[in-house]
Amino acid sequence: MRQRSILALVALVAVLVAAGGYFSVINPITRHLQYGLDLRGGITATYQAEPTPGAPVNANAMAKAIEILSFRVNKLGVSEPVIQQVGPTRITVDLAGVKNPEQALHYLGETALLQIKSPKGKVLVTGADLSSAVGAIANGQYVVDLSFNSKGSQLFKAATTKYLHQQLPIYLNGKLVEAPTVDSVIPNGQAELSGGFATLKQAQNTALLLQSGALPVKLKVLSVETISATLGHQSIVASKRAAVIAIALIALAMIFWYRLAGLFADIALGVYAFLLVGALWAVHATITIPGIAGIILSMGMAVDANVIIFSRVREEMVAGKTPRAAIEIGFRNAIRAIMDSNATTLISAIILFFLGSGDVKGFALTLMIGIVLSLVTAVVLTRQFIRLVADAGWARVRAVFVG
Amino acid sequence: MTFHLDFVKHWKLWFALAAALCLVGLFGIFVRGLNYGIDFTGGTQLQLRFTRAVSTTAIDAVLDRQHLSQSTVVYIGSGHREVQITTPTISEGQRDTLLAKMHSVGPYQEISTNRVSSIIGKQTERTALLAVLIATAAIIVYIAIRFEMRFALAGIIALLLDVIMTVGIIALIHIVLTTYFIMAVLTIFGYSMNDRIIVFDRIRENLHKQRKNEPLEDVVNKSLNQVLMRSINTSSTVMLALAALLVLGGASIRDFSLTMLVGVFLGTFTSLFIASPVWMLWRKRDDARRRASVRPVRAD
Repeated sequence: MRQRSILALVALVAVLVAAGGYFSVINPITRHLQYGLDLRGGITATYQAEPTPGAPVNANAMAKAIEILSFRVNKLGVSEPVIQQVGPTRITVDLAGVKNPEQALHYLGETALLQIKSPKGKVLVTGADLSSAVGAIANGQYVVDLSFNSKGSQLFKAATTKYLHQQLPIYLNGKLVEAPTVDSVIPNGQAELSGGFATLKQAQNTALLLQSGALPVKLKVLSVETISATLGHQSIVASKRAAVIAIALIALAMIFWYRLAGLFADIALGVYAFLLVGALWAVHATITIPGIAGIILSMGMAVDANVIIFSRVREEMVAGKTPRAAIEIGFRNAIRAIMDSNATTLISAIILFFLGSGDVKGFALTLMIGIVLSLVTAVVLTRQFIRLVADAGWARVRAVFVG
Repeated sequence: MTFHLDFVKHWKLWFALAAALCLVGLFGIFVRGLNYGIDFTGGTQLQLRFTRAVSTTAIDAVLDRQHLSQSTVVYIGSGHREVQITTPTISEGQRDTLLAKMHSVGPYQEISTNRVSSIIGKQTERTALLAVLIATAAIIVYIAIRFEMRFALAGIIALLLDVIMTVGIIALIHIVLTTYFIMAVLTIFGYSMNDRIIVFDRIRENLHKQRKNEPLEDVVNKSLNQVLMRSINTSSTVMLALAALLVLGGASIRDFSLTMLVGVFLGTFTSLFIASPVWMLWRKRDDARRRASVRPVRAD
């Protein structure tokens, strides 16, 4: 019994230490996590969709707007952009590592509404019927080559037939760009937009906007946050240092108060840390500064379960029970208090999760996962450790707990 | 180590102390006022790092010329090179102009910008209040089911004191409120309730073992002494973690940690010295009433 317990204890610790070493040194788990913009640098913006006459804000319009924003972001060449709808009328856009954030933002929210009108001002063809738009140079001028789809081609053919030898003004976002005279009927849906482009880049941008289509709703910028990569890097360094020191202090305090039992609680705490980070990785959570604060805070709270249990075991031993009996009774009595107390924290966290947005949600999620995991490690794992220690007759548990 | 402290004997002293702290808190909240950040009020916050030391007067002058004289400018870190400028809500164009004009002060690098419209700000505040209300209701229901109503209400009274005192102290120090502040207050909510339940759980357990003629005071005192070691150990562990965050965590996390630190400390105090005596006095009053109403019946 005694030797087997020692063997089991050593094996358990060895496996956990090996796993910890693998996930922290050989294949650091931190490398697989997705970090927030506050740690990487970048821009995050919230747009509010506002209805305009004839363009109500509904689920369809929002889906279309997100699709268009995604198209434009992809053209910016940003890695891993996040574009999502928040609530019924808001869209957030997260872009990492953008060189000129405000300009990018401006470009994203811009609409490019192309209209070809009759001389009397009736809309004949719109940008919605384009199949492609390309910025190019023609006759020393910067132009956008337009190709209409079949429906657009039909309309354009009809227009050029009807208004042959007349002017067909072209409007971009309601502004007159040019008013070319139709020389001949154009049956193939090819047109050229010239005039007003100072650079090729400008022509290309307009082409891109035209190609992505006009936004179905007006997007108003509600909030913008830009963080430079330098600041992000500083935050990573500061958070890492704070985390390491906080965890070390917690671990030392536990050993100081509960000696060997504290050491095993620390091992369980280490397992907890890896499980928590692993769980955050599994649910594709984004790690932000408040998220890291949540992780550190939850470690402080995770040891609470062990503190409650050990205090209980100590009481039972003082009352004269044998180590093994004191451990069983101590754990059993402590569990109810631990469950009830964690339940209230869980309630607060759940409410935060559903009401909060962005940062607050991330923090609440960390807290929720942390509470559940800490119950597993601090109760199940530590109990196994302490039982084995007691069975091994090792380290005079009595002295350890009574202190 | 076992304790034999008499917690409930001096309950009047503890209540007076809590009341005094509460008054200080209310003074902080209503007289000095909360220092709402742009997360609540809307506005733009720019962080710029100049290549050499700059004076705030030069920056103020630029702001004045842009008709943004209500803005505030503070240095970040040492060396008077990094500044944080907070302006009222301005448009994208105004911001671009401001940044262009700022070059007259000196060459700089833009570290971060945070622009929040006042619509979002109002919502943040409303959401926070809503979260607090719902959390309070949910916690009352939970404790009333698992324990009894008196525990729930005693817990909530202590919790209200915690929140008033913590928010009041934050108002007194004049820390700028951000969304982190809301997170901190709600976490304190959960944490100090957690703390109280440990105490209540022990009282509940000892009530079952109560001997005949053992006064309620003794049961409560015994329970508080039994959980004292755990309270000290856990609070100090959490406070150690928070202290590390406070000192090393960088600017954005500092205020969060400080708020939490104050809240955890006060939460531990009210759990031991306020919540349990409140419950005890309440229970004794109810018991006395029951006896009073029972006696005439027996006399018949």
